[in-house]
Amino acid sequence: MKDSIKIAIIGNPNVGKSTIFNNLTRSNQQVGNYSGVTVDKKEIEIIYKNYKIILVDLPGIYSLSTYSNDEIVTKDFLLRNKIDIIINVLNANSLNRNLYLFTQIIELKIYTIVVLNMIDILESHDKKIDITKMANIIGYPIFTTIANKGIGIKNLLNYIIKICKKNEIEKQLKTKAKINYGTEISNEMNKLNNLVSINIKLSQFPKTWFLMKLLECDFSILEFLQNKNHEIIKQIYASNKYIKKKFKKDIKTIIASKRYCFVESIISEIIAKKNNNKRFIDITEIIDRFVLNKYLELPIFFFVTYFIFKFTFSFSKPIVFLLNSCFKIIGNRIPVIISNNYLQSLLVNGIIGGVGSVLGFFPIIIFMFLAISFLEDFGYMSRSAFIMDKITSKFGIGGKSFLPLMLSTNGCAVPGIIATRMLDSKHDRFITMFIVPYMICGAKIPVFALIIGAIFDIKYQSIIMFLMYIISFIIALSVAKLLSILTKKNETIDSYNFIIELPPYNFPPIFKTLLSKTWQRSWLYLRKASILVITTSILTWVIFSAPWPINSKNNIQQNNIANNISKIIEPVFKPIGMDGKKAISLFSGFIAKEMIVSTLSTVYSVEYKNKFITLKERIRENRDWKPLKAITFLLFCLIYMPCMSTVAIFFKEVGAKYKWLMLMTLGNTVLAWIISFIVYQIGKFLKLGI
Amino acid sequence: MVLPGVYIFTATNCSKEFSYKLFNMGFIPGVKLRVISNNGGLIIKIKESKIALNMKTANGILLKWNKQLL
Repeated sequence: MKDSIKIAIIGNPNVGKSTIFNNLTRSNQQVGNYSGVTVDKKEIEIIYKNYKIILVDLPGIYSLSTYSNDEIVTKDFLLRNKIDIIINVLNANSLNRNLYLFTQIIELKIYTIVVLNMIDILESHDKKIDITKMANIIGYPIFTTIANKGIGIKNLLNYIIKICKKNEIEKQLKTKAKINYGTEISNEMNKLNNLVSINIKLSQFPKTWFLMKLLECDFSILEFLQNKNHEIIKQIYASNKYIKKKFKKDIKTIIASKRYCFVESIISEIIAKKNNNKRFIDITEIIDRFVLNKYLELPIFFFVTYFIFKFTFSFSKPIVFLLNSCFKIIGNRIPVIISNNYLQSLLVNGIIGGVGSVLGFFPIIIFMFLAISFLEDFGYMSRSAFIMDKITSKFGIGGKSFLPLMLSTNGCAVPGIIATRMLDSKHDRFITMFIVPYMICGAKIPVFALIIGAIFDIKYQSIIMFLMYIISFIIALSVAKLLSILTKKNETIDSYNFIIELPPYNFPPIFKTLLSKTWQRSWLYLRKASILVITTSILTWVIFSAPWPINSKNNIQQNNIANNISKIIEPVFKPIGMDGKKAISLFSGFIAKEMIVSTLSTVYSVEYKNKFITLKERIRENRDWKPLKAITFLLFCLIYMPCMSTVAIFFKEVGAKYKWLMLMTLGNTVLAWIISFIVYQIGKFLKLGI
Repeated sequence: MVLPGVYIFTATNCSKEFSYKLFNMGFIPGVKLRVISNNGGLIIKIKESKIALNMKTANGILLKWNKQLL
């Protein structure tokens, strides 16, 4: 009996691996109905029935080769770690391709459990899989699940414990189905095996898998053998030459064909149509006829994006109002309860002002996350990447780059930058990492919602927010084009190639998936923001309320640390329509973008002494805030240096290169200044919004 | 211009690495596939999966029109 079990979850992209992982571990890994959501392995340890189970969620792959980053992560993990069990998750609706990966997994000689996920969709298509027959043919245990509803997961966990108790892991490996590669390939395998088996180091790899990779001339395996095993390399080339001469096809094609033959022989036996006469209506086909229509795809895409903002602002408005009223009541009660002027000011202007101004926008963030989570789970994201490819390819990056950009919009630039690992091209990856921070992430939403809400009429707020998103994309794509020209593509992998699987549309379960996912993301945001906001609100209050020079006793509003700093930096920001106070709030944005709002709150609340008025009202009343200045302020926020956590992850992912770090921080700030300057000066000249 | 219909995939004209990726996604010479639409990119059904390719990738795959499969 073992007390610790290591389990790897493997499967094609977008088959529900992370959903199963989350269900098994009760964790909150990011999931979505599009490929490439998991780009690195995630490991979580759980205790179940006195067993320590280590579950590892691996990126989705199509094969165990070394073409893409995801495949390298998965293959390296499987070969370098002692795995007790593999859970191979298959999409029951696409068994043909999903079982192709299975044919490679079984050659690893690790105990495998097959999980047929999304069985409900298959049944809705009036099809049925004979599970018992399938288990008999392949010789592996099979479970059916509907992971997004949590159905079938507990059975899986109980089965794992059962087999560990019975020590069945060893037994299973002796009696499994084998793929018939044909006499010629088998003979070539034997020749190679004779050379490999005498090498202690090489004979440690799973035999069939390793021999297959040798015959397929797998890049990393050949690299591993380079300059060490001339005999084996000679034999590989001889085998390839012989097979090509004999069949007029290369060995890879023949091996893959044999694997697909094996898969098709299984499928022909196990899948049955329940009712041949019943006509099946394919909802996905019907929706795609419009969504992917040559003339309608872009209008629909823009309508969907606009609808997100309309939905977000319309539904969150009453809750935002309620929340702000609560902060107002609390803020106005404090001077009645506390008599000490400094303490009053700290609580009213510092803490309640700062925290309230950011948390007041929390409902907007929740509704935004809800709308985007729905689109993710519904299956629209892959389609939008395909639609966007026609635009992004003109700017030097592929459509897949759109997915990290959307991830950033749906929360934070940090996971957006990490998600660029899904891109095959290094060139696209670098450029996408660079442009991800231009997106309006969750932290920037309060800044945009505040300024737009305070300056513009309610009728135009959704459309202006939508336009700001469009502008963020235009800036991102323009910078992508510029970087694409500067860095020039010089790669073996052609990054203009774009291929993506389009999943069937699926209405996500509201409570189990949609609301829980929205809450998890919102909670993460709230937790991060609240600690930072409280700390910086106090700090900002101190620099705005502490007298400077220290001996100056009169007029603290004029003689404080912040005012002295703002006087120094004001000349730099004056040409773009900003005074020193606005500039100081931008400095705090380097810690986190939400801080811009909490700093602005302290800046303006100090002027109101201890009377509590919401920040939106204060900005509305302030004569210095005009539409033109508001737009240039927002443009600057959009482009200038990202927050420190984004900068740190960017620096790490680009391989700690200082020149890119400087371009990301200083370069972006200079660019932000130039664009804001042009817009402000043109607006001033044309007398627009002043 | 590839029109909607059933085709046989014959070969790729892409880089070696990308061909291998296509290969693992089921693009093996001789396999049947259905072109659902061509809207400036191809949407095809291969081995029960729906796949979208941009024009660059679509131009890199060689398809043979097969009337018998219609």
